[in-house]
Amino acid sequence: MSAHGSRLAEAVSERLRVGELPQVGFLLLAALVVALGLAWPSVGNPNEAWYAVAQLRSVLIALLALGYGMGLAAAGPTGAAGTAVGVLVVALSLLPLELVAHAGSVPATPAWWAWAATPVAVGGQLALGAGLGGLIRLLRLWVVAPLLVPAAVVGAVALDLRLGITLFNPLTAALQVAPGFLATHAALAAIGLAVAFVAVRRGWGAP
Amino acid sequence: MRRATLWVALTVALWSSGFAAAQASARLAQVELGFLGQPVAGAWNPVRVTVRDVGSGHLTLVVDQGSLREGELPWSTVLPIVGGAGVRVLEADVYLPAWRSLVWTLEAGGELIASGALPRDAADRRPVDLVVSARPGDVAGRLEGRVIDLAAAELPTRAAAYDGVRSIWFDGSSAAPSPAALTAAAVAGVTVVAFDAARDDPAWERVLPLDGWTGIGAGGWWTGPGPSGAELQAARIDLHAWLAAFAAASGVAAPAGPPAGRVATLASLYALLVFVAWRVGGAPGMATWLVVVGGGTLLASSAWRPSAATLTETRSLYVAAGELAVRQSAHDLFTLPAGSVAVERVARPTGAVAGRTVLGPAASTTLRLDRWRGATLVEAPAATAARLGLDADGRSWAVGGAVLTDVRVVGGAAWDRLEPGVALAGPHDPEPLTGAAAAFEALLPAGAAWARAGRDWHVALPPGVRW
Repeated sequence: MSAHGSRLAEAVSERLRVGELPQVGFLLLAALVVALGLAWPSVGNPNEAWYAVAQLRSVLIALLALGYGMGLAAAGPTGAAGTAVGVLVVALSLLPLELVAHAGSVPATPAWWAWAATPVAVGGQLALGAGLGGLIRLLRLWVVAPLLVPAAVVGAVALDLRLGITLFNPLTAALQVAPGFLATHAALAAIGLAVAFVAVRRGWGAP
Repeated sequence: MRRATLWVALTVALWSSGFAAAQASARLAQVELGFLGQPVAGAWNPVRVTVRDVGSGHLTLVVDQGSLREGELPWSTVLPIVGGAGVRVLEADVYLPAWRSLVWTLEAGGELIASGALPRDAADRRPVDLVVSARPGDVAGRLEGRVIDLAAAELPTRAAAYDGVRSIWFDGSSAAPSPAALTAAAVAGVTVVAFDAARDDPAWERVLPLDGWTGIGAGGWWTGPGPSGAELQAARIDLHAWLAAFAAASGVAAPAGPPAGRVATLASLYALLVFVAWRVGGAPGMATWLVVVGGGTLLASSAWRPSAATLTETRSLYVAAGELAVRQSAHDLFTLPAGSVAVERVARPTGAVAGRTVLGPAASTTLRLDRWRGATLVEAPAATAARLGLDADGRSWAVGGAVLTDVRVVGGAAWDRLEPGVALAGPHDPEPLTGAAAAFEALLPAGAAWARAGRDWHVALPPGVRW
């Protein structure tokens, strides 16, 4: 493994081993386990568990990625990459729980959609979070930072309802194959990677 | 003057021949639903399409079964038409539910050739009585209801065409119906009545009993004094009710799935293992994480997922008398995701649902169902060989190679097993039935026998006259 790869792997491992990310990750896992248990029907009733679990997972991942994205610029390049990959690992860890609900409910939405959409969604939401974080630093509005993450999710829902198409809404994107959602988040992730690349070349946050 | 007259005569002659030629090549398209245009609602009906000089196309019937409360519930039937030069006649059987509106269109060569509609008032569920006689009034007078006078040549040889027919009468005063047509009708539950001169016709002596009743399938032939309308009604087996009771015994149900407690326990264990893998860190931690996530994915994908998104089961009900039986096959469908479900058969739903059936070589029936919903599709009645027989002493016997189990005589004894070529074991008292089986047996006449062969049910009717 190259030196960069080794440093990245170390950063990811460290990010998941200590600090608040594993605690937050476990909290998200626990929330999904509770949702799965509560939504699972008694014998003989139709199984609608997937609809609740899929939407909860999608919103939790959006909140996670947006929140950690806002702090990426404050970390170094290796730290930011480690955090980003760590968030992706947490997001992927939630998917088997949704798959359990999918197997029980057998909805029309294919099972592969969550696996295909999650990495792209995480990348896009991290980039969007980084953008919001930069905006806060620029405007020095630290006080609104905790509110901005849920406000961003609500804004995404409202925007898609207005447009009548799923581009940013994690609730509707969880329940159906949404090519528009994939496209917008892939574009955001590409922009975020490009900005990060330029930032690294310019010394990442150097005065 | 003479030349002018000649020119006028020549012009008229040429114009007339052109007009006749135009008339001869005029396209023709006629559609007849039911016998002589009198369909029976809630039954399979014959449809006859006569076309001349039209291209290939299709006949589409759209029936709205809905109501003010339910809204529109369209049921479409598509019958492909093979066109060409000359006159072509196409016959088939279509199911017509009780309709709020019925519209048909005939399209050929990309254009609308003919269309028609039947009003709601024409949706008559009463069965029809067919009379093949030069003196139809003699028969019509003794029957109440819908009596149709038609020629012998108009009787089809398909059992499904007689689903809405109660009786066929012929007296030998006109051309005789073919034995194949009368057999198909009797199998489907029709009482065929031969009286007066027909009884003395030598051509019929070989196939008709000299006097009395011969059970064939769900119906039979009668020679003797003509029965009254009430007697005919008493003799008629309510095949639709029997079929509904048979369909209610469906074994297709939603998959049970694991209990919520087990799901929550395994999910909690998974979450704990993932957390431990994170905290271990390094290469062992990531490897453990990959194994846990991969194993969890495999378990979730395979252990609890049903084998198919749509569960299906096909069963058949046979009703026999003598060597022939009428068979009606039921396809039970249960879909887990919402969407269209289909069978590659011509069938009709047992309830009022929206759907479409296509006749012809690529036959299919398609329904659209919501998630976790079931429906039963029933094919048209068809004649087949009987598998269960009943002799005059009330003893049951198996026909062909089928092994029959749970043999019961209504109001009589029961046997565990009936096998061709094997001596019948001693009877025993029948075990009490519950659920759909009990409801089905309650519909059978006293003395009838019924048995199971796997998922199929076989009924043998008692041989005596039914009135």
